[in-house]
Amino acid sequence: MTMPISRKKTKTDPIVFAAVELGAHSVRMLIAECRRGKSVARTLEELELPIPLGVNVFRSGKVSDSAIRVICEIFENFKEKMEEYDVKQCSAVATSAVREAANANILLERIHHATGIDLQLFDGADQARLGYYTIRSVFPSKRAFARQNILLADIGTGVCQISAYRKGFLAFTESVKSGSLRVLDMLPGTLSSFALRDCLTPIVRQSFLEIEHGGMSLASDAIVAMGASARILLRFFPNAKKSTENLLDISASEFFAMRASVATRSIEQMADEFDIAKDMAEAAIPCAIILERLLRISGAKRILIPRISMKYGLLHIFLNELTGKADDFDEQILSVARMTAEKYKCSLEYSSRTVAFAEKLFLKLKRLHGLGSRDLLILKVAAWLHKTGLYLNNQASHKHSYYIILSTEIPGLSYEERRIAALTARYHRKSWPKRQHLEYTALSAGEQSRVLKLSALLRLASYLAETQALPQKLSVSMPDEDTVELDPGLSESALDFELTGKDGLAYLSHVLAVHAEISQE
Amino acid sequence: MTMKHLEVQYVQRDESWLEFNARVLEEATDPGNPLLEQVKFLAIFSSNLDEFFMVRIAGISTQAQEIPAKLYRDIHYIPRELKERLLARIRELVGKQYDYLNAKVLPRLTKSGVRIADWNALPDNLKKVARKQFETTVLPVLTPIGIDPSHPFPLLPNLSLELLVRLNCTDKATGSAYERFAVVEVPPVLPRFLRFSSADGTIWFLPMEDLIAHELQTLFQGCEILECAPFRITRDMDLSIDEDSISDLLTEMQIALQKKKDRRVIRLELDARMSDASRKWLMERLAVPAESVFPISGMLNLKSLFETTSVPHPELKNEPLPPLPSIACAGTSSMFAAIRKNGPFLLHLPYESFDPVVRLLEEAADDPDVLAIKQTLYRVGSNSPIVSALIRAARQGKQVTVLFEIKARFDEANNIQRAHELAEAGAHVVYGIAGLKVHCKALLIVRKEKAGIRRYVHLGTGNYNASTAKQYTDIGCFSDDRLLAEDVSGLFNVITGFSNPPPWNKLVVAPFNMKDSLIYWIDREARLSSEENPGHIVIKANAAIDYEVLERLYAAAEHNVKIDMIIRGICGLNPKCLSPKAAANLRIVSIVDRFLEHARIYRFRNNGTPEYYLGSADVMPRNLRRRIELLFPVEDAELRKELDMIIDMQLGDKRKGRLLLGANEYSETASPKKPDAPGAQRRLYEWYEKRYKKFMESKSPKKGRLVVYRDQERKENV
Repeated sequence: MTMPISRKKTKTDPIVFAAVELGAHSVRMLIAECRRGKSVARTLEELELPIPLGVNVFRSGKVSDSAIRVICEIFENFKEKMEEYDVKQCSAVATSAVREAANANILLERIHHATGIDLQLFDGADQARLGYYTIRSVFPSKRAFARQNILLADIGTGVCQISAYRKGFLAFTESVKSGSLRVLDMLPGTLSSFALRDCLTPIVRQSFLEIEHGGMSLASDAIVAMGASARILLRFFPNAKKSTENLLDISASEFFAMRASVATRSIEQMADEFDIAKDMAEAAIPCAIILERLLRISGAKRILIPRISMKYGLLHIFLNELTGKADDFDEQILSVARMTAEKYKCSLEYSSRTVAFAEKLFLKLKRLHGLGSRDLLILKVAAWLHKTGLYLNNQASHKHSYYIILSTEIPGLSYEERRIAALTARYHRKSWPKRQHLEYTALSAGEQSRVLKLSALLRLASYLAETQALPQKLSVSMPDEDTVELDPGLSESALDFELTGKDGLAYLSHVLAVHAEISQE
Repeated sequence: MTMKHLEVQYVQRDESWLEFNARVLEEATDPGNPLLEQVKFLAIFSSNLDEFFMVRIAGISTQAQEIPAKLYRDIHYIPRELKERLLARIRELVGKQYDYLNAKVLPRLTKSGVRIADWNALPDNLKKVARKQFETTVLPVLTPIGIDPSHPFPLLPNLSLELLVRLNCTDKATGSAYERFAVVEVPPVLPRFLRFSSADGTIWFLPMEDLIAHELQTLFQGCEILECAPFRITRDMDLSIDEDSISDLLTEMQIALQKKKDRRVIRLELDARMSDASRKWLMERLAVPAESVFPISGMLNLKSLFETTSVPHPELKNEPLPPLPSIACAGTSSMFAAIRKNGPFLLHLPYESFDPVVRLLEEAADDPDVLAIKQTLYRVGSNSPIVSALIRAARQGKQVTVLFEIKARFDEANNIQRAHELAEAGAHVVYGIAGLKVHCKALLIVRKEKAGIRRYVHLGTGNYNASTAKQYTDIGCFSDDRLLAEDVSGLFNVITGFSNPPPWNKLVVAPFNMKDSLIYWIDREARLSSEENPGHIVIKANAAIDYEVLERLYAAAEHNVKIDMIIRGICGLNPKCLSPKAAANLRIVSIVDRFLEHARIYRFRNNGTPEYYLGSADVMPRNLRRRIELLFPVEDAELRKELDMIIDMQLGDKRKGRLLLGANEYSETASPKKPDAPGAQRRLYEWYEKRYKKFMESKSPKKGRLVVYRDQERKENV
């Protein structure tokens, strides 16, 4: 008998990708087949198993030992499933429930030990990014998404991540400590399911007061509700079951009618009638109250509930990597930066020119500084926000900028990246980094080097923006290995070179070990 | 709904089953069936009855003892009364069986040169041979057990044949005589009959218990044998395990099997000639009430008559209908290619051969591009080529997942053994789900191909058992449909505990959405139906007893829906309880023939856009609520035509199709006008044969014109 020979793998062979999501109520996995150069994936498997992780973490502050064992077992099964499909790439993330657990790292290590899977902990901003990709994948078209103002509410057990999109661009994202279990925990004692609803409403209202007073407009056309408890609400709309679309679109009045109808049922009745677990029925009540609150404060007329979870966002990111597409979320990061600059009354004309100068300098001097595209993004964020400190005080405004950037949730940037952006802004004027600056010396050598280079570029960019120079007229040349010549395209009289200009050149020269000078025709 | 209240609305399931077995017995008396086929039906009747006692009568006996009177209404019968009715009917049927055996079958067999005879009828030369065999083969394995105060009554195995011996012994010390009893088991390792051929060509079958009885003195030397009579006990074998409170189903099942000998006796069959004293003594020892005693006028355990049907008398048997090759798989290099090219396609067993299923698994086991194989196994049989292929696949490093339903009744021990073999080979073996029996028949193969992952499925109505595939009519479907495969994959995720049930694309799965779907389809038919545009439902299943579904069927019949059902066994419906107009809409046919009808087909007219489903589920509460069952759609027009043809032939079967007339009342076919007329099964075989021949002709290479001369013509030409 001749044994069949396996085909040789080629570059065009599809890649099987797995996205795993460890949430508060369940573990989910998506296995999809992706092809290089194509941005459409074919779903092969979708698995979901319930786990009471949210309650576990929220009540005791940690994931119990038995829950860790159960989760490891589920991950082992998922690993077996991946082997069935010869999965080569896997992305696994844990959402807020795990993030809040004191022993999150132990859980991560146990999972890695049992399966080799590296589970990433997502913070709120990461989650907002994933949420963006998830809703993008369920919206019928990019244009439909860009036409309206949307408030995305990712309702977790402890935190509700609110992200506001204005005509397709992210304006801000905030974590509100008002998750489906947290608000239940804030109740004075054990209440009947009917009393529960009455008592929860003021608690939820209180939690959202800060965001209402935060200075950013919440006015929206629609609310997109995400998270396991929001998906449970899908069951409350009987027509939703038959629809095959990935998005349930209901009017505010339909939603209020549902709320009124569900309000007459006990939790047990809800669980029975809608075929859901009792804990999920319990979580659905605060979720509905949170959405009701958001409808009222945003004036939105519709609620959209995607039927899919964040694992689709992971798939979207993977597809982007596979197709070599630029991560279009960078636009959203810069949008948040721009909106934040606007919030702090920065001059948008000046800031946008600073961004353009910074980008041009970055690109022209790439051979010298050797930084990557991610650093350019951080530089642009810092360029948008480097003057926000002025909103607080003229004195030491660069230090205020540092604090503001560090405290602003910017989805898509990790905390470490945000810190680099903040320090870049902090060193755009005045003192160069010193050993006495604790926030700087706390960085690793690599990070310090990035801060030095980025802040040098920003200092010079901000100087150029302060003049009447135009970014498109800026010329950067290197007549020899040791010299950088900048021509802003202005007459000498238009160039005030005495103070910041010289300092900027000196700082750049210091950081890149070159001689930087202004050359004018 | 207009119901005639004087008529019983639903037939009780056990009473209905008993009438099914009565139809099996009728087959034994059908002159159209060759003599040895009649013998087979007598054996099947007994075999069925054994199972019925072990499970159903055992269960009803428990209910009669344990369920308080106030709960009777929940089960729709009074257990005590039901048991009495069932036992009375069983006595009647068993009487009929022995009457027919003794008066008709045995004499006819004798005439045909096959004699099933007792010792006295055996010619002297054969007696000599028999004695020799006794000494060499039988005696060494006999274990007589004397019973006295120091030797208590032994634990007798379920369904084993025993001899009760009453002895007169003498006390050596005092010289006084006393009576004692002994029990001799007819060893199950021995054949039931000793077979001899006499010089005139007659084949003789001597029952083993007869030989042992005749040679008993060898065992009880010094004692006078006063009496020797065979008896047989049936135990309660309804292995119910509290699955919610156990952690290891496999171990619990093994323990339950070990305890089989301990279980209470439900039936005691004994030779009608056994003396009253012996009978009383035996009943006391076994704690059997009089109602459970069945005196038999003839040979016990007629199930073993199967052994006699292997004689080389083809004229006494059905004409063989060898399974035909599947045309969809003919001439293809591999099963995967056949499915890609010709799929989806059906395989109708036993008219067509089971080989493609085995071939698919064997190819998958050796194919390096196959990543995973998943399969449900319910009753696999011993030496299963399916299990062997799975073991090979696991050894070759494929991800093999097998759901081994070890709770498959009466096959538990065999299943446990095969499950161990698979696990040792490296397969992921799942031993069922607590609380749910996995009854669906599904096979999924994940293969990595140039175009990406492709999943192949085989879904069927019958078990993956190469032996029963030759006797049961089942329909399987091969496909690489993406959505169907996604569902099957989801089903395995549920079975293995990897995931919650997904939203199903195409499959209908019990206990999740099957009952609701069934009710929805029936109600939809009623809703869309009018006198001018009547709806039509066809259900072919083994049983229809879920009262909720039956109620919807009654309602649909009242709404002008024509309902055609082919229900082999239990049927709870009674057309007479409906208005005459609605009753005319309800046609229920039961087919009992040479093959066991086993396929399940559901067809709904749906206002001209019909829907067809095949699957593993009967219309029974256990199938719809306590088992994992599936129905899969048949969407291809050609395949639907094939199903229509099957349905039409079976509904029109005038030869073996018995029409349900009233409550548990069927038309007769035992004395038809044309005993040789072909039934639906025979006609179906002819249809497949014709199709196969036509296909082969279309594939055979065109040759030059062949001229055949008759002798006369040739001579003239010469």
